[in-house]
Amino acid sequence: MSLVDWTLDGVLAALLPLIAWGVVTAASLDKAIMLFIVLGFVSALAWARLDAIDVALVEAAVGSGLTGALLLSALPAIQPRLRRPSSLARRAGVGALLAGITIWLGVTTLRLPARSGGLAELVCENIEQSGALHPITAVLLDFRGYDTLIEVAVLLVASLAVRAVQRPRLRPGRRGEPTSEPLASFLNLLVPASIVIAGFLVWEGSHAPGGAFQAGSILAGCGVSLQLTGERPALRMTLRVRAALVLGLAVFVALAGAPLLRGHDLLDYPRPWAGPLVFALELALTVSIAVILVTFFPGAPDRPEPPARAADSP
Amino acid sequence: MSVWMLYGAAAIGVFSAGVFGAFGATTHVVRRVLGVNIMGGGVFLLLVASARRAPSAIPDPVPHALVLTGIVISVSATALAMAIARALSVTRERDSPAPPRDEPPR
Amino acid sequence: MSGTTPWISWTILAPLAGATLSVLVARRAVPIAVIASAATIVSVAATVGQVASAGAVSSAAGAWGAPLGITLRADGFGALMLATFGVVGPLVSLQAIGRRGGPRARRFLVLWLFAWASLNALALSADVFNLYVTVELVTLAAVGLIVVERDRRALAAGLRYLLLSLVGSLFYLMGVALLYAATATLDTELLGERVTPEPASWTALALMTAGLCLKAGLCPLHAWVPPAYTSAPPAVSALLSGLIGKAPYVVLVRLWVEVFPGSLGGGAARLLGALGALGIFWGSLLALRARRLKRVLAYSSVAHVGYLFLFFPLGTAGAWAGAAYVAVSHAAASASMFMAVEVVERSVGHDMLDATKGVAHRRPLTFVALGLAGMSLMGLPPSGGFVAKWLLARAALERGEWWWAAVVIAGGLLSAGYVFPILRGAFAPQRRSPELRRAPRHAELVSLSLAVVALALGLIPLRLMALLKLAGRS
Repeated sequence: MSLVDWTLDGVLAALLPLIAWGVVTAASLDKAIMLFIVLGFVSALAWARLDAIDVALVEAAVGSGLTGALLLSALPAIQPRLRRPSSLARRAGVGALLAGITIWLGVTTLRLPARSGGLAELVCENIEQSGALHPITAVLLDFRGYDTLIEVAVLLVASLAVRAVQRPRLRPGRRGEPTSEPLASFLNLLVPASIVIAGFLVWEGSHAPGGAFQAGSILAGCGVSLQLTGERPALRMTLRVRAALVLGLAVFVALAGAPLLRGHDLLDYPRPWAGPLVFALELALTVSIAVILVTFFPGAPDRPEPPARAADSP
Repeated sequence: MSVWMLYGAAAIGVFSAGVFGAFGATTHVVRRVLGVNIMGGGVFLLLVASARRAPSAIPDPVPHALVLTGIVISVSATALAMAIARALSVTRERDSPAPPRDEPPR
Repeated sequence: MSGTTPWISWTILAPLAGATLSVLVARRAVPIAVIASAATIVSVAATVGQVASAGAVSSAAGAWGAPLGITLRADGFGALMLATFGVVGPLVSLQAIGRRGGPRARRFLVLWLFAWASLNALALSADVFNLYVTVELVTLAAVGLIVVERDRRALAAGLRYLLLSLVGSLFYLMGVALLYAATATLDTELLGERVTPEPASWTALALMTAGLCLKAGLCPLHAWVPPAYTSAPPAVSALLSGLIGKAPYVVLVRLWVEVFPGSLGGGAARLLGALGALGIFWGSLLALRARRLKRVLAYSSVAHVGYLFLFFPLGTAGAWAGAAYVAVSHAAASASMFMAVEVVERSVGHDMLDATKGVAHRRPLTFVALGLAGMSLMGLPPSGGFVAKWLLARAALERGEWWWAAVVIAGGLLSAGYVFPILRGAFAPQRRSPELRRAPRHAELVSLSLAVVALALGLIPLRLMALLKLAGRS
């Protein structure tokens, strides 16, 4: 490794905890959220340096992009009651606990086995039999596909619960202010572009970095922009939208259950068909992930929220 | 010292900052949600860093897959937390008066 | 798997399929939920039957097997938890089906089906990362259930529960990351073979245990419990206190028994036991002082979480049986009590302690339910609660650690102190007898059936014990 590499990694590794600390101690919430988004992009760089391109893609799109947008879009509704620090005793207690945890965990981490391939070899040996040629897609949708099945259920439950707590008055479903000319033409470009990119990512996912989560989050980013700018009304729970919401989980459950009927284990795809089945699953997941992520956002507000009381968690 | 250790140590720092945000900084819900997300970021960074200990060409894909799953779960939980916080802030006190502790509601 | 019918997988897929379909066909959500519940009950019964006759059954998802894939495994403990979820849960959900449709009932049923699928998945999972994912599904479904009626207090309690729960999960996940980095496996059985006494594994155990204790509401980390259990709709409180509150404990037992068996009975385990004892006393004292029925039950739940943790310092098979029995009998008794309180609250309009006045004459079914379930909470023979506490106390005496037995007995006396006033009040003559409001009949029946289950657990303990012993995973 060259000196440049070391410097780059050293700077990134030093920046990460500093920015994280900046987020939790920032004076204002806007600043904290901005720094959080920056943290996401720096993490994405770090992950690219660690050869985790898939993770970097998802982190940039979902981890910092969508999460940041979620927090920002909620801010106007939640009165920013600032600078209400916890009691001194609490801070001191947490500080002491923290120092202990940091040192203890740090030492433990540095004493982990210095060289370990983990399961990389085993994954490579079995990848021919799996439904994908890209190792991470193979792990996500075949070797540990059952995790992903439960994870898709988590997404759907979150979407249903978000819907359930929205006041009917605040439910999305109306258009906001008309958009300005340049923004409109940008959005006109955005939609076909993101569909093309998403399609490319799903296709790539079978043998290169990319896949349903990346593609779904790109589509969702496009949908959220349309919704937050008021260009499109937010989703109503029509039959078509509900079908899109559950499509991924439905296909997944069907793929998990079908082998059981033939006396096999769950998710044991018939091997010659594993590739096409995993690809079909990816397409279904892309649609559902995109729609679910969009339902996480409130519609464009058409008037300022009523002055609300602080929503501090108790 | 190798590269993964550098990032491993950074991961612990990020995790601790997140714990502080979730528990210690302030009681504001957005700060707590940020803290929880940063804690998650620390764990994910440790997973990805430890996947790069292999001398071979490709890093261990299993932790990468775990991190992808973890990020999606994080964003789901964040979305739910923010939706509840929004609902709370528009639910005025008189919508459903909180009965005082141990007193019968009207 | 070879030859046996894969019922174990259907216990997860049937409720998931039902939930998915009832989102899609919202109008028919209730009949779909009924069919899915029936299918799930059949699968659970068949799985328990397989375990009882042939010992642990397992299934490797995708046929890969550990360490590459994820294994589902039902041992005696898993089967017992499946059975608990499969008896108590559907009974409570009948209450929503009884309300006939309506968007509230539909939302409840969909979220309950997801919660049920995740609880079953949690009882069966033999993979520490998969346990994280299932625990998150349990949490999000539970939060959805708490906040679904948008009551202000419930929203605040749900948000608090969600945030603390997430913190707990991330401590757990940090432990998973360390374990994987140290051993290159996530399967509990393989971990049990590969974990060596070194800093990474001790640290992982500490982080995971701390996170799960927070999620389980072990004293002094129980502050989120009372608001959540008292502000949620009653059927949800019944599910939370009876079933969902047990989920982190199931994971914790898996971790200590299968991955770190050497730590049972050690210093850290004694600390957990001491916190459990603290929870028994503190929860009971707060229950004694509470003036609202739901608060009594919420603090009683905190105390019962304490009993569960007495298993760790003892670490014997007898203590395990006792703790498992506490989990099962408290699930039935507590759910029954919450449903009975729902009836009382609907009839009288509030849930102060004196709300039960005259219930013995006016709502005899509910009174019988309160009495039977209360017996189990107090640990009077012949209820399930009695068997549980007796097993725990005996396990303590067998190890010569009489102080744990003393804690169990003292806890029983204290619980008599807070349950008895409820029952005594029910007999109190009403001077003025104000008209009772109509109360949901099906809630009465649900409460009574759960109370009968709690009683029956005291009459058939040997058979269940045999199940628990027969099919240990290792």
